Amino acid sequence: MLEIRNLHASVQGKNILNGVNLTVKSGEIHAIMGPNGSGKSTLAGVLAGRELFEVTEGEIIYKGRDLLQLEAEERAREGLFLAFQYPVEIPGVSNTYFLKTALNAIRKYAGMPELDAVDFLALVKEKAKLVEMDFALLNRPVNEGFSGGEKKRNEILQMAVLNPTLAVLDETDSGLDIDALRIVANGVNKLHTPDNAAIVVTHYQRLLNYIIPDFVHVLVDGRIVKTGDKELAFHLEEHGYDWAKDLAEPPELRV
Amino acid sequence: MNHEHAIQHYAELFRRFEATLNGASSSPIHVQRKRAMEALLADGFPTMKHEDWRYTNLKPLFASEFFPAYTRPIDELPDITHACAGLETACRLTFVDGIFTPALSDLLRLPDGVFVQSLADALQEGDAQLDLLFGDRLLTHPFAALNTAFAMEGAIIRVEKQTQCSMPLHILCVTSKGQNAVITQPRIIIDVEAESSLRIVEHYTGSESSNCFTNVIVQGSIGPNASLDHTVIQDQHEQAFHVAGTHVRIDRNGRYSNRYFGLGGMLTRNSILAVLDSEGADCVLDGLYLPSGSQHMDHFTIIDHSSSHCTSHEHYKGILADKARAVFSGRIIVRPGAQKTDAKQSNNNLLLSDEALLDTKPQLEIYADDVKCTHGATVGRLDEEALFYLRSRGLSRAHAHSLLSFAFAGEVVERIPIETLREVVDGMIHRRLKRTLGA
Repeated sequence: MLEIRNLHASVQGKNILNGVNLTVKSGEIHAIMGPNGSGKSTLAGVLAGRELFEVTEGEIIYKGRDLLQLEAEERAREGLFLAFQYPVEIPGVSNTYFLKTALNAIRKYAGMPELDAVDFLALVKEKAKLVEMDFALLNRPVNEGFSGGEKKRNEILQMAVLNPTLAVLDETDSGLDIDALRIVANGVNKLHTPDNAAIVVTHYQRLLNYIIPDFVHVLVDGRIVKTGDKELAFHLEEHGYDWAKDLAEPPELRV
Repeated sequence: MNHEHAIQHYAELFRRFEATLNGASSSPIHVQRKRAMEALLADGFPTMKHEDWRYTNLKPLFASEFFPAYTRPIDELPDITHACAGLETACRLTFVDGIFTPALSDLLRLPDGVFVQSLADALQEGDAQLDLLFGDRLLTHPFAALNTAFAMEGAIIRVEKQTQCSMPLHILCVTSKGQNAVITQPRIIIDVEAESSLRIVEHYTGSESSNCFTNVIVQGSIGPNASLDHTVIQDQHEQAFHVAGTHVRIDRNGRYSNRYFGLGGMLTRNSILAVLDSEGADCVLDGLYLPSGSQHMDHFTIIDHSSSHCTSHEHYKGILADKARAVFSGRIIVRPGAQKTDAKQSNNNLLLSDEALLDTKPQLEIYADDVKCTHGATVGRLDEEALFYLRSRGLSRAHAHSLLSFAFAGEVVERIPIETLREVVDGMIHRRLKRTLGA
């Protein structure tokens, strides 16, 4: 489904990703772990099409297409979803209106009829139960005045409604208490099928107590330095990232 | 034509007008007209050197000579169905090219205690009250003088004390086909007596691309515990010139709400003067302007806190596209002794293009020491992070732009108290932003 080959990316001239290789197949859950500043969020941003990041080398093949040639909205319509680390507040746009507009944009692209208000509401209410979200939040402006936990649940609600092929969760666990973490993880698990895949970006192992990954990758200095199964996450939890940093090659010396 | 020529043109029109008066030139009202014309001749039209007109060049307005429409377009009445959307059940006063047109008006269903008369009829009858109103000292600016000198059409609206008029009154001004270089100068006089309430919708429209110049004066008086809710929709065609002066006095515990929607016109000047005349008076001025192309929209407001314990809230928002220009000048005067004044002002703008230009000028003049006055202005672009968020959910860039712009505008639209009209204005704004943004 997704193949990242030798991906290099920079922000304002500063190299962040230095040759990432990653293959994700349908039905898989991959966790990407790493210390602060290792490039985790950059990787998530590059996948979603954030223009802040400049890809300087490498390629990303998604469903057989060159992902880097697609605009952010085209990626979304092709089934790629980014759950934001910091979901954005949008005053004046109601949550349901936003979700309906997004869903119908994606359906239209797929050649499916747009959902009317009644069918949409039925769908969104069903999905809201999945993330134990208060219906009252549906009519509020997108994320405005939401607590940290509510914002993250709203991300998973959007994911549930838009039903992506590949979900990228960028530090969805940050700032969540244990109950919210359980609810969010539960949502992700319920949405997981053999036909879709997820990349879970996280700093801590604790999210992986709830979402069991097939693969755990350790990202250090913009490279994946180690890949293993969920046991690797426990190892990281116990021993920290320092040992992994030693695995990273020193940056090339410039003369 | 320049400013000087324009003055001469109106002086000539005034002489012609006087020649038709047949001895009525000594009537009290004509004395007021003459006085206004003399003041205009003495002061001239404002140039950009005048502080209140610093950001608006009137040259395009003086490029052509405008004449009043003398004939009623009886043969072919314009279709006003579209203009009445959302106000189908309202009472209506319709002016075609500035001339009151009973066939397109509906005043039969006015509730008891509400009196509406066309200005032309009132002038015919002669009215001492009218003489005073034409000489109102609040009306000092040159365009008010021009209106005073010439106004023959308009309306006098009076709501008797303790009368609640929930049915909106739609004042519709349309320009008809085939009229070119027409000046219309409506004068609308509103008196809401004690403990009464009235809602009016002042509406300018005309889809034909003939150039015309509207110079309107609205004079309002709001009695103790009375309220006037005033929605203004300026949706004239893109060649139109529009100068509006709204002057309102608010008595004890009276309330005035004005919300202005600026959509049309080539050059628009919307000025509002609200005088909070007695304790507990309250004034709310909201505005939304959406200039695009090469439209110029100037908003000039003065809120005069001349008494204590009065409140005012002013919130103007603008979305500027293409090479559009807009101005917001908000002056708040707190007179000596106007203690416990609570005045809030804000002006927020979105610039959708590098070539759009906005001038915003808050002016607070405070001569009392126990007051709360705040003001703030912002000029910005759409939030990049919000745009990306929407796009990451499948919305196109253009769609994301229009959705965020629409949300920005929504705050003002929401305040329209007439639900059916709110939906119509919502649709107008939606279409406009979609067109501007190509979504």
